[in-house]
Amino acid sequence: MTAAKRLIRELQSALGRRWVLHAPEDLLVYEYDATIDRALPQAVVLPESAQQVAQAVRIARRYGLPVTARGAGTGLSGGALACEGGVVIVMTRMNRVIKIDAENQLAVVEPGVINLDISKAAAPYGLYYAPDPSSQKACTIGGNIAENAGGPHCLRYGTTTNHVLALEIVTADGEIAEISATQAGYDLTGVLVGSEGTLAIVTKATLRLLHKPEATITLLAIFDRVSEASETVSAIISAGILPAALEMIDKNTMDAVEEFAHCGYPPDAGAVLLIEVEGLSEEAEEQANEVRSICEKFGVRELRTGTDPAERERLWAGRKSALGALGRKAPSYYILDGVVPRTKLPSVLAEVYQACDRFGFAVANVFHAGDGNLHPNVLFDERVPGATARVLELGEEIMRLCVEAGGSISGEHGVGFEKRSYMSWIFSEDDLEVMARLKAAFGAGDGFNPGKVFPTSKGCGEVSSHMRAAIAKAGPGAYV
Amino acid sequence: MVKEVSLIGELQSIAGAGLAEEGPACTAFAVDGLTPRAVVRPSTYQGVAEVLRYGNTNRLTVISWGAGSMMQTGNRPSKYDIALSVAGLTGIVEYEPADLTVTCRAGEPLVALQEQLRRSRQMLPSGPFASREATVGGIVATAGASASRHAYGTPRDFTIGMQVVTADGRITRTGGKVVKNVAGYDLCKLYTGSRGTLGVIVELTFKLAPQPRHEQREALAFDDAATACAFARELERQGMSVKAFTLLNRAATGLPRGGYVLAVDLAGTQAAVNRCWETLSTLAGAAQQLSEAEAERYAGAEAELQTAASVTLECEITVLPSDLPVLIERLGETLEPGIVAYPTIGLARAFWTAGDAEAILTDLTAAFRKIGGSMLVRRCPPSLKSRIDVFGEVPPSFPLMQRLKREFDPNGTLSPGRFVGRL
Ligand SMILES: Cc1cc2nc3c(=O)[nH]c(=O)nc-3n(C[C@H](O)[C@H](O)[C@H](O)COP(=O)(O)OP(=O)(O)OC[C@H]3O[C@@H](n4cnc5c(N)ncnc54)[C@H](O)[C@@H]3O)c2cc1C
Repeated sequence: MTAAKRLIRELQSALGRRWVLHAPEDLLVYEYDATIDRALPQAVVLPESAQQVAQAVRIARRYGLPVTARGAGTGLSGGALACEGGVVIVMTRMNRVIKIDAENQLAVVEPGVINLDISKAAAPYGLYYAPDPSSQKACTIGGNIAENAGGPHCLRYGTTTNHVLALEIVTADGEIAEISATQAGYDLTGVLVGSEGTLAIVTKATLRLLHKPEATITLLAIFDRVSEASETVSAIISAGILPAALEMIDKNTMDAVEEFAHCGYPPDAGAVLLIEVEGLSEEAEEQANEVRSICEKFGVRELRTGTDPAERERLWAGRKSALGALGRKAPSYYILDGVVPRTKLPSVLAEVYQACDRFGFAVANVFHAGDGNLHPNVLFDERVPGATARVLELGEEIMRLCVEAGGSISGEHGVGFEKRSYMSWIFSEDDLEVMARLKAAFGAGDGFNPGKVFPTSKGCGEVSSHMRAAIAKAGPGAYV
Repeated sequence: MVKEVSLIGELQSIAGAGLAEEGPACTAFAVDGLTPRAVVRPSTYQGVAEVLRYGNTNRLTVISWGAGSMMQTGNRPSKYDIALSVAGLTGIVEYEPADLTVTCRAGEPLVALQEQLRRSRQMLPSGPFASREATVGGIVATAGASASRHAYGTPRDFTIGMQVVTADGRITRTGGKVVKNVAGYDLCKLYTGSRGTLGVIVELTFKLAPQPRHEQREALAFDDAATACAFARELERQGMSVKAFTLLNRAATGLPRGGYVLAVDLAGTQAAVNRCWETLSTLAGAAQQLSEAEAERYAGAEAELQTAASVTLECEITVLPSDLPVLIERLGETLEPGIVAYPTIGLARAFWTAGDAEAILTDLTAAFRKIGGSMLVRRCPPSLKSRIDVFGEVPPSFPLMQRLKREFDPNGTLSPGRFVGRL
């Protein structure tokens, strides 16, 4: 029997025949995430327990094969791609909310649970899980933890890392370990979050839940120019207001959305801000009034307000349907993710438009403005020879703009495969060497998710476009 | 003899003649009865790096110091050659209020930083701490938590970037200067709370918070801890704008009799604070609402206990919030220490001025096994440190922590023996 066959046999006896995929047509489904690249694993397994994950890791290790964990595959940096082949462990069967401890505001969940399902389970207690990536109807908490996922409401409540209290993990040698942010000793939980599946596989998570705010007010502010909108963002933060969410949509996005969702955006408007304030009703109202007067100071041409859920949902509709709408504008689009200090938003945005002009691509910006987290979506046609390569080149240039402005190469989507060569723009060799020490301490070597995060010369699969598929999977309400 | 001379000579040539000393100056830098052979106060990051490189190559151990206000916490060092003070690395490096972030050097005292930030109506959401000298580097290195943790979290939640000098003397960066950033491993988390055992923090970038528009302190007297804790959690459930809840027992308030005092720091817009006050008064029920003057009096109670020379044993215990009342009750049975607790966090600090520390700890550890959680002995008689681990039982993930220490500090240069499990 060949090694490949023996591997499958062993995995089957550990997990059951049904949960080990190895036929080429079955593997295809797992060769891509929501990025441009793809890579084919040798086997895909779907465990139902930490013990099975540990077994699969040990088996793969014995065969000298790398292991890549996979949640829903909605990642936007190639994180879940098996760049160097090996075994992909899909966590989606481990999708139970194990416990909601309302008194202590905790949820204990399995890694394959879908983000939104945690809030659904907590809702009867008046609680919710705050980090809300726009893909929250599809993405898993394990993927969120690996990427330190953000979302519109992370401006006020923080990202995934601020909400993960303890983890159960399977290490590279196939051991199950418990780590906790509140225990004595080094904060292993803190470094595990955002480690992109390269240190360990998460098999259980204890999360902090928050009480739902009494009042939420959503404001939609329409501006003639992007510059006015982005100056308003800075002015709101300077005024000592930390909204729950502060999002921006630019003209190209509005045009696309208008054709499709009919939000009543004026055709000659330049940008829309969505500003959400929360808290006690008195506080929300006071803040909403202040935000209104700041918007007026910066020449807002129209302000809409939503206080009940239906009204608020209507105001969010344009923001949330942006991706779907862009999908109708061009055969493909490339979603970028960069961060700049908030005060640099106006200048960097202007440079992003110039760069896209120079490359001859249309760009639509829909993003978490309050955090300075840009998401330029570059529209292109992958069937045009050379277009994909040009888009990637443009993406690189935009990342450089962010770094030169004092920002970073990723705010929430991760470094993954895509951006690892940019790491050396912001980190020195010594910085990267110290990160490698952490990896060594976890004994992970190249056992978990090789070819990610750190700059190497190896390539990953081939380039194609699957973004559409992944976005379709994120559900009809998906937006970035 | 020859070696002594070369150590101080070497340090002086690295840091500058006036910045390295031996002899009497070292007494102030003693840790658990161990006095270093030399103290050095580099004025640059490069200086810190050179000291560490020198120590690391020559197998000399280095303990880093901020203002020294937290140095009594930790296991006894296994060896102590050089005290490395970063107290001279002060000042703000970069501050743009509209970015709501600040970058400063590690030796900057929190109080001084807050003063600068206040001018722009912003703050580092940390503290206040008992020591006015406490440096931001020290606060992060010890993951110092104060009552405002209820609203703002701990240093791990607002530290977004760092420059850290490694044991082998490399000046490295982790994180960045933007509030949202997922590039590379978040080593900030690792250094936060690592008490100088993995590297020496020389610069920090923080996410700031706007100053609350209005603040008001209320206090209520309760007969028992359980009712007081339930009251705090109910206010939280109703979404009240509270910055901190602090529960004090009789011994901590210094009152001759009575039960517990719950201090509630309201913070928000004027209208929100008014509304919270109304809710608080309605919910108070049988609890007695204390006057403003009385409420103010309790503001400094925790700091007083933390700095009181009469305290011989101080423990910090973290449990699930729902277990806090039981814990407080149990603590009270051990010679009634002064207790300061944060009900929504599940954290209690207990301060003893009498009794046999070892006997108290043995008793507590047994009680504690049933409740679960973690215990840190913040202060105890130095003689006791040879027999106990002040961080309590090692956590299940201790083997991973040992590997980390080996990777980051293979020679055991940085504060050896001081951390969990005597790492
Ligand atoms: C339409 C759309 C909108 C989006 N909006 C946002 C947004 O607002 N904010 C944001 O942050 N992201 C957003 N994303 C990106 C993506 O949804 C997130 O990164 C998400 O966290 C990925 O979760 P997943 O379950 O799909 O993970 P996958 O894509 O399957 O995997 C992502 C990474 O996680 C690792 N991983 C998965 N499970 C585990 C585990 N149990 N243990 C260890 N490692 C594991 C994988 O190895 C991989 O490195 C969006 C994506 C799409 C398609």
